[in-house]
Amino acid sequence: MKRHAPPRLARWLWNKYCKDEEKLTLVHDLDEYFAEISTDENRMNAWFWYWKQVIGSILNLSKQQFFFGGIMLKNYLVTTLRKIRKQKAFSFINISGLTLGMTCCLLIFLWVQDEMSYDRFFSHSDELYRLVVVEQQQNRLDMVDIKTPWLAAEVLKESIPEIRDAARFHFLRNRTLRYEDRLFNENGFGFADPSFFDLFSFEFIKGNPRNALKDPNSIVLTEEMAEKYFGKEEPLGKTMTLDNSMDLHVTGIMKNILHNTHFESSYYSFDCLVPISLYKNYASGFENWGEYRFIAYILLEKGVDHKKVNEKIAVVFGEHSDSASEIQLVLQQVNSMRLYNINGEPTGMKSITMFSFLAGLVLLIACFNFTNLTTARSLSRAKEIGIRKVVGAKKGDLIRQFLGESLCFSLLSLIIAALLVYLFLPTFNNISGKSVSFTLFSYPSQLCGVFLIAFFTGLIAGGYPAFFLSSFRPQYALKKNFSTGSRKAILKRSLVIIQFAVSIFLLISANVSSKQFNFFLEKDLGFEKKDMCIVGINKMNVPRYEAFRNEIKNDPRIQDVTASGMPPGIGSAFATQSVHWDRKDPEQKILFHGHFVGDDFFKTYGMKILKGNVFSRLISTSFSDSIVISDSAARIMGYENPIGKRVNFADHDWTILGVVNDVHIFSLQYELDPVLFLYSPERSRYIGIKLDPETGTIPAALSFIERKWKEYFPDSPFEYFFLEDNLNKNYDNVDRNRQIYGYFAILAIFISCLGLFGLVAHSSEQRTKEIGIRKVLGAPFRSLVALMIKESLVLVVLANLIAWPVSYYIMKTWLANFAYRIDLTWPVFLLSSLIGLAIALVTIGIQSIKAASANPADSLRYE
Amino acid sequence: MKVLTRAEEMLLLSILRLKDDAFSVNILKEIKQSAGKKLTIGSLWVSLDSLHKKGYIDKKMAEETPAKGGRKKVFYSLTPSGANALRNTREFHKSLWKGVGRQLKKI
Repeated sequence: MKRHAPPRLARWLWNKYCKDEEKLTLVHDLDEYFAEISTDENRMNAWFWYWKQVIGSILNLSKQQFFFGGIMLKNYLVTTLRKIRKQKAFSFINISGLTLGMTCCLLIFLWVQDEMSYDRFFSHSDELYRLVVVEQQQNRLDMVDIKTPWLAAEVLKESIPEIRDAARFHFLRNRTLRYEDRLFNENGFGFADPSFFDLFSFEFIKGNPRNALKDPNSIVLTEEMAEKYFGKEEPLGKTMTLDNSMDLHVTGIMKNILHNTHFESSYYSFDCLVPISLYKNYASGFENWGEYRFIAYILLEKGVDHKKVNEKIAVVFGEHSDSASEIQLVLQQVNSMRLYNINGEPTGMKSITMFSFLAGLVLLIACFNFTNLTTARSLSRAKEIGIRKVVGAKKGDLIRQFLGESLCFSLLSLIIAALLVYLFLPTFNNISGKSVSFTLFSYPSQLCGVFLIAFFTGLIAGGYPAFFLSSFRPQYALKKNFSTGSRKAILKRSLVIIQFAVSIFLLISANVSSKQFNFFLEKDLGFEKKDMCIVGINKMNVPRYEAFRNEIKNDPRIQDVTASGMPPGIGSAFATQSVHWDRKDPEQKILFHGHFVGDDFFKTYGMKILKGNVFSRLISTSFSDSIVISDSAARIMGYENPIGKRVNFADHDWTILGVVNDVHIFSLQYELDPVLFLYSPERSRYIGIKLDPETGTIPAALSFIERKWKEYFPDSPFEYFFLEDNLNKNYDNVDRNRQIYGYFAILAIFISCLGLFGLVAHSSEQRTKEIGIRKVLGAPFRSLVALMIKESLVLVVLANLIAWPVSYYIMKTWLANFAYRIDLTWPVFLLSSLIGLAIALVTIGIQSIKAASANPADSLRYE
Repeated sequence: MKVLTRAEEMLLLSILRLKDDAFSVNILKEIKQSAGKKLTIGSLWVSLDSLHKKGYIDKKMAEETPAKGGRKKVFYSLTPSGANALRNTREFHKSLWKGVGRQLKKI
C-alpha cells in the first residue's frame, strides 16, 4: 500500500497551532490515522476528513482558550465600568472631552473625505482634463479663462495622437422647456458634443449614453427633470419643445448629478443636455478663433504625461490663433481642479491640511485630559495594581488592561460622538456650505477611518498612564503612605501648558482673522459699493439702454444710473503692459488695467475727480481720443500735471482728460493696479444703479426697475445683484477661517478647562488636610484661595508666553497672503490672552473657593 | 456519589477498553465504533483535558516502539478515582433501571 501525504496547507496549519510539546503529538497522531484511511480509491475522502479534523479541532481548542481569556476580559470590563460609575465627575470630564474632540474630528474627517472625492467617480477620471486659457507670468501661469474657442477641442483631437477624445460643453440660463401643458424655465441648460458621455461616465437609468446625443434633436434629462415633466409617464421617445421653436426627443435619463463634482457648482450646473450643434440657433460668429466661449474637455490616452501634450497644444494653437496674444491653452486635470490650482499649488489642499491639523489638536487636548486625570488618580488604584501584581499579573497584562480601559473610554466617546455628528451635521453643512452625509455603514472607508480615530485616541490618551501605572512595585503600592513622586508633575504641568497654549493660539487666530475680515469689509475701495444694484445687459440691448436709463433715472428712489464694461471691484475689461508715455523707461513693465465706461460712471460710483475733467456731455459728445486715469497711474507716469499729456497704447494716441482717485478693481487680496478709463458706452455690459439707501424703498425700487426692464427688454431676463454682496464673496475664505478658528477655539478652551477643573478638584481633595491645618493656624481665606489658584494660574500664564510668538509667526504668514492687511498689534494678543486667563481663572476659582471654605473640623477629623 | 456525564462515561469506557493502546487516534476510532460518534481530534483533546483536571485519567508521554515509528505519543489510563467514578455510574444506571425492564416491553 502506498502512503499518501496529508494535505500540506492543513498540516502546516495544524503544526503551527499545536505549539507545545504535548499537543505536538496530536500532529503525529493525525498523520498516522490519515495514512491508515487514505487508500488510492479513498483519497478524496481522506483528504476531506483531514481538513475537517484540522479546522474542527482548531475551532474547538480556540473556544476553550477564549473562554479562559474571556473570564479575565470580563474582569477588566467590570473594573472599568465600576470605575466609570464610582468616579462620576472624573469619567464625565474624560468622556465629554474625548467626545467633543472626536465629534470635531469626525466632522472634519467627513468634510475632508468629501473634498477629496470631487470628480473622482468617473471611470476615466485620471485621464480627464479641461482645456483652460492661461497667461505666462514670470514663472507661473495665470488662469485667464476656462472657455476656449469653438474649434480648439476638435482641431487638437485631430492633430495630437495622445488625445483619445474631446468634448465641448456650453450652457445657457433661462430657457423655456415644454412638454404638453408643462412649461418651465430651465436654468441649467447644457450643450455638449455627443462624445461628452464617453468622457464623463454619468450613470444612465434609461437610454444608452453612447448615442444619447448623436441625433441633433435629442435631449438627455436628469431623473429629477424627467419626474418634473413626465411624472409617472415613460419619458423615452417623448417630444419636448425648447423655446417654443425646437422639437427635441428624449433619448436618455441620467441619474441626478452627485454633489461632489464640479458640474454641481452653480457655474456649471446642468440638468438637461442637448447636442452642441443646437447652439447655432442661439448665436452666430462663434466659430472663429478669437471667440472664447466653450468649455473643452479632453480625454488623454492612458499613461500620457499631460505636460508633453501641453507643448504640442501650444504648437497647434499657435498655428491657428492670432500670434499677437500671449495666452496659451493648457490642460488641467479634472479631478485635481478642486484642490490644486493650474500651477499645481495646493490652494484647496491647504485648508484641508489646516483643518485636519486643528481637529487633531483639539482631540489631542482631550487626550491630554485623559492622560493627566488618569495619572493624577493613579494613587486610588495603587492598591488594585499591587494586588493584581501579587496575584500574578505581569506588567504586560496590566499595560493591556489599562490600554483596554482607555480604549473603552474612547469607544464610548466615539459612540456618543457619532450620535452628536448625526445631530449637528445639518448645522455643520450650513457653515461649510456642503451636503456631506454620514452614512457610516455604506462606506467601509468611513467606518475604518472612524474606528482608527477611536483606536489612536485610546492609545495616545492611555499610553502614558498604562506604562506609568503598570510600573508600580507591589511592595510599595500596597503600603499605606505610597506616593508617586514628582516625575509625573512635570509631565502634568507641561501637558496643561500645551493645552492652554493651543487654546490661546486658536483664540488669537480667531481674533486676527475676524479683524482682517472686518477690515476687508470696511476698507474704502475708492468707490461706493453700498446700495449699488448691478444689472447685466447684453449686446443686443445696448442701443436701447439710453432710453431705459432716462426712464428710470427720474424716479426719486434712484439716485444715478450708469453703464460700464465691468463694475469696479469685479475685474477689468482689459489689461496691458504696453502703455507708453514720453519719459517712460523702456525696460519698465507695468500692468495697466482698462475700463470701458459710459456716462456718469464716476458720479454714480462716487469717485472723486482729482484733476481735470471726466467724460461728460457738457464738454463734448465724443471722447474717442481721451482717457481718464487713476491717481496711481498718474504717479507712475511721473507727471506733475498730467492733463493734456499724451499716452499711447493699443496702437493709438490718447490725451489725458482727467485724474480720479485710486480704485481697487480686484479684491483686496491683491495690490492696487493703475487704471485707465475709456469712454465707450457701446461696450457696456453692466448697468450700475445707485439706489436711495433710505430704508424700505429698495424692494419697491427694484420692482419698479424690473417692470421697466420688461417693458424695454422683454426678451432678456432681469438679473441683478448688489455690488456689496458680490464683493464680500471675495472674502468668503477669510470668513470661513474666522468661523472655523472661532469654533475650534471655543472647543479647545472648553476641553482644556474641563481638564483643569478635574486637576484642581483632585489636588484640592489631596490637600484637604493641608488646608485644614493652615486654616486652624489662622491663614485668612484670601491667602488660601490665592495659594490654590497660584499653582495652576502660573501654568496658564506660561502657556500664553509660548502661544504668543507661535501665533505671531503663523498669523504673519497667513496675513502675507493679502496685499491689504491689518497690523498685528499687541492688543489683539492681550485681549485673547485675557479671555483665556479669565476663563481659566473662573474654572480654578470655583474649586479653590470651595476647598478654602471647607470647615477644618471636617477635613481634619480622623477616624 | 459522583455520577459521570454521558460524554465522560463514553471516554472513560473507551480508554478502559483500549488498555495500553489508549492514545488519541485510537480513542477516536473506538468511540466511532462503540458509540457511532464522530469527533475531531481537537474536541477530544479538550474533553480529555478536563477529565485529566478532574483526576479521572492519567497522562503519560511515551515513545512508541521503533517498529511502529518511534514517535512520541500521549497515552491515557484510568486512575483509581476514574475507575471508581465508572463503577458509581454503573451502579447508578442499575438502580435507575431497576424493575422497569418488563414495564418497558409492555408499551
